[in-house]
Amino acid sequence: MSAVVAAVLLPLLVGGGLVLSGGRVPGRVAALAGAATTVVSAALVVAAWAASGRGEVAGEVDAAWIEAIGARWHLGVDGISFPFVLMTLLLGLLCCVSLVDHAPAGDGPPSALVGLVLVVVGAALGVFSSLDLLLFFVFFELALVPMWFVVARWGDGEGRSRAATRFLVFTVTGSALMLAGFITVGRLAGSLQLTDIAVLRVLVTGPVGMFAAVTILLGLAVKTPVWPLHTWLPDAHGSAPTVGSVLLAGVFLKLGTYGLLRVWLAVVPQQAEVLAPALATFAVVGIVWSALACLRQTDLKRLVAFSSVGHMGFVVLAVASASPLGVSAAVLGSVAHGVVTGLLFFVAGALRRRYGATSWEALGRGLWLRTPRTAGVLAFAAIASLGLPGLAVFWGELLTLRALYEVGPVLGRPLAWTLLAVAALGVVLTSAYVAALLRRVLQGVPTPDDRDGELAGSDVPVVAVLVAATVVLGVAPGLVLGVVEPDLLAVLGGVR
Amino acid sequence: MPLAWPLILSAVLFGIGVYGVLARRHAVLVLIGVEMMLAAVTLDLVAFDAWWGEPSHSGQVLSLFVIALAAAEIGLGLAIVLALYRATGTADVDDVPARERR
Amino acid sequence: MIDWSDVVAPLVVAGGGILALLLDAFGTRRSWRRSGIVSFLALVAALVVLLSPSRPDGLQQALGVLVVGGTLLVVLAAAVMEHEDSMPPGELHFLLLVSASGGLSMVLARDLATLVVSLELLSLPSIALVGLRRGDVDAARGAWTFFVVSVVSTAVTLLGIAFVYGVSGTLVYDELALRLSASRAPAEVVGAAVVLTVVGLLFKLGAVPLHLWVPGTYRGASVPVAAYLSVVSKAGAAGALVLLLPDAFGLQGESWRPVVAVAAALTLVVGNLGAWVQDDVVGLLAWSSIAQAGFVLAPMAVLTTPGVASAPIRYLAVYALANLVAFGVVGLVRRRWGGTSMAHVAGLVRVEPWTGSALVLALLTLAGFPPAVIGLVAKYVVLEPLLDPRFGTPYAWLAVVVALNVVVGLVYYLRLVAVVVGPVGPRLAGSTVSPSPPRAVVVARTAVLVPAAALVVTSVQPDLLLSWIP
Repeated sequence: MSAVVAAVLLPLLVGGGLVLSGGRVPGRVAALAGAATTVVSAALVVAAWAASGRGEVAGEVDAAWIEAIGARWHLGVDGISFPFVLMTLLLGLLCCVSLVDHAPAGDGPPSALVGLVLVVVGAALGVFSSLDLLLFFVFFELALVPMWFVVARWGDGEGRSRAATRFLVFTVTGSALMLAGFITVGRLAGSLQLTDIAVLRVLVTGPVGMFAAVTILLGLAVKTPVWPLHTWLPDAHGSAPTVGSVLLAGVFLKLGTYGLLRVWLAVVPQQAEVLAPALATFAVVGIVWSALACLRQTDLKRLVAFSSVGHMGFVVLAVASASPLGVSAAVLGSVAHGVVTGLLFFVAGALRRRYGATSWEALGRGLWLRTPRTAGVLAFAAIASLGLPGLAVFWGELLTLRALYEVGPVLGRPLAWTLLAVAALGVVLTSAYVAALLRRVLQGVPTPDDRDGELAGSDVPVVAVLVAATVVLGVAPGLVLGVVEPDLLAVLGGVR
Repeated sequence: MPLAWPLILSAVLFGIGVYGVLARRHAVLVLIGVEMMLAAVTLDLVAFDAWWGEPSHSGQVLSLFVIALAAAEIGLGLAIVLALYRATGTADVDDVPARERR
Repeated sequence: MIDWSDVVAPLVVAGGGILALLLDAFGTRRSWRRSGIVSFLALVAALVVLLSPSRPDGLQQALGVLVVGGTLLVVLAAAVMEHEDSMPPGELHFLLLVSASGGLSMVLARDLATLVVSLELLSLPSIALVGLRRGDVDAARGAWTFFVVSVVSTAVTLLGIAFVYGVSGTLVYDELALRLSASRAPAEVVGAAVVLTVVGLLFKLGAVPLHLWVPGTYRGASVPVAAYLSVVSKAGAAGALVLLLPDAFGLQGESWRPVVAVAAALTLVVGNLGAWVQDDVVGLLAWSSIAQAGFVLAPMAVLTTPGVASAPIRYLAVYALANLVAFGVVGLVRRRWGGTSMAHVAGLVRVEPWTGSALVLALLTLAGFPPAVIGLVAKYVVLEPLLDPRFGTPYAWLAVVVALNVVVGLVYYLRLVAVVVGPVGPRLAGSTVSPSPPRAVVVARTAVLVPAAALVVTSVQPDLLLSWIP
């Protein structure tokens, strides 16, 4: 068995076992076991990556699976997926670590929550390493039901069940359409293997090909989410428990962006050229809209959730440019968003545990003076999120804008430059809401509270790791870009 | 005799049968409606058989089967009516299907 | 000349049924075991006959195995009703087996006369099965509804067959194809005759607008009988359609393809909407089985294309396994805790981990979601022919309807899953109300766990199921 397959199956098996154990495993033990599982998975993937040459697929497995419909057990990690895989495992590890001390109360034993987190992580790893369309889809859907349980069972607030179901209906509607698209591609190309379709890509043509391109795009656009299909996101993120929000933002949305690169741009390149201008326009509208929506938020968790729509807008814009620079920017932007938004949600979760809510009223004012270290981390994360040079998000957004400026093969110059200008406006608005957040929560006359206190327990290592990752990605984006560049052809081979 | 005559008679019979099933409240009258529909089919089959005159006479064979089926259906139908009557004290079935519609 | 190899399997099943009835009638004491064992052996014998390698047509063989295997599991699951006073065992087994032999000859039929006779042989005993519970008003009402709709749709089908015979002069499938297109009758008449013929089969399948009998009948019947209706009866009808439409009416595609496509779409939508509002598990499964019939029906809209016939059968096989598991678990719950409301299954996974997990797996399979990969693959299989670009995809809209209905289905199945894995409700916390003998519960539980295990195995390796149906 290849190391990559082992890395995918291990979290699924351990997670499934923890879910089925029905609370016989103590929560702390389960969380530590989960953390160990992600570490082992990461070690396996890194070992497989190190053993393979650059520009080839690491740990590739291609075995017969469902011959009746041409689906194969085809997995492997290349330069596009490797950053996504590592980010998923990092966030999975940190979620488990955070659950050691801070398991939220819910309708179920803590070990079941750890198990569900591991299943989500394993499913995401499966998506990132699938090289078969049906296998991709199976893993894509596998993550949904556990995530639904995480939000509906361990979430906060009255509307959690409603929010969870809305999230489920939206994403499943998208993915059901996507399945129709995959089947069409499979029939047109005569194969479900992503590696084959990359060679035979000219076969996906005509109105039927366009049907496939549109349905796949719709499915991924709901997941990513692209404005105006994002309406499930704020409620789901806002109601989910901390680990749920982190996984939703850090891992789930990346299934969408990764899919846009891997099963849209690479699979239906001709139709992608036609659809890209519309997609880019929606993305830019989403950037501005999300910034405006953030200005009106009065709750930290919901603000972070809305800001995700904007960040994803940049990633989608990068994908729509369909240029080598754009693809690199999309990967980098996805990873950076996972790290920074994960950090923001962990801090918001810590604040929520302390104050019972994350609305401005509950948090009070003057956090700088009341809890300086927590406030510092929050400020750092918020500023990283607005794209300060030297921190993670900056490079993704800068490269996106540059890809637009250089005018890729798909978007014409007038459109690209207009989009560039509007996106830049979005950046300005982003700074406005970040500044508003800092002023409202961190500054002002302190309103001391009995519950004031710094980050504690397993929150400390979690936050420390994410801060370090934010800085490292900001200082050395080449770490990711160097991995992506040799494999750009896997995505862009068919675009002129 | 032209083929049309038995066909017209059969169509009339079938129509009366459908009306009986749809409009009658009493279970036994519903059953009679069903019988008339089946009789119409039998008539059709015999008429077509005579018209084709093929050596294996499939139409006549099938019409014999239909007669047997009709008898079986009536037997079963009356048994259910009896059970229904025992359970509810009436053979008025007007509301039975409607109540089950939920 | 009679080819005995074709009729021996239905005869074995019917003979077993008669033997079960006689043994029960002449026995000194009523015993569930005696007629049960005879039925079991007869069905196993029929399976052996069907699986003997001499059978030429793989599709018919698969359908036959589906019918007989489904009945076998129903017979086992029905053991849970042992010692239920209102349920006579001899009659139950007799009617089940005779009806199954009707279903079996239906999928082996190659001419319209055999089709009609076996359709009635399938229907009439199953109507009697619904009304079998003595002194039960719901059972009698359910049976009456079922009876009226059944005989009327049979009459319509017979009218259609009479007209088909009138315009073609033959009842044999293989001759019909050519004779119908060579007929001098106007194309509209031929088309109407073909469509009328299909009506009776659509009724057995529970397709909209002939679906209204389903919920009341399923709820009036005992749970194993409802399982039988939802699986074996549907398999017989679907199997007959899969053979009849392309073989006999293949050249009349223009007349029935739109009918089948629209019926499939309506069946999906209406069935799912009906299931959405149910608060009773049997009601939910009844309405959802209507929607599932839509999935079976959808690929039949392009049945004239070679190679498509396996798609509905593959779906049907997966559906049969999952539905038998679901109904089996509900039957156990109804017998032991006295009801089938949502409250009666709340927390089942914690009270009965094995059967509870089997129910969850079955529901996920019906919804078509991982980890029940086989359910997802089944959905893939029915969508594939609708999206095949070789034929210009005239029914891509139907594929979209199918895809969107997967979503609706997922929501209500998942709502039930959430209840089943949720906190233990007061009903299950209490003691069992009418304990069946332990032996009967063990047999019924086996009838649940065996198909559930099959679902697990085929989820890992779907080819085991798919490649077996050609």
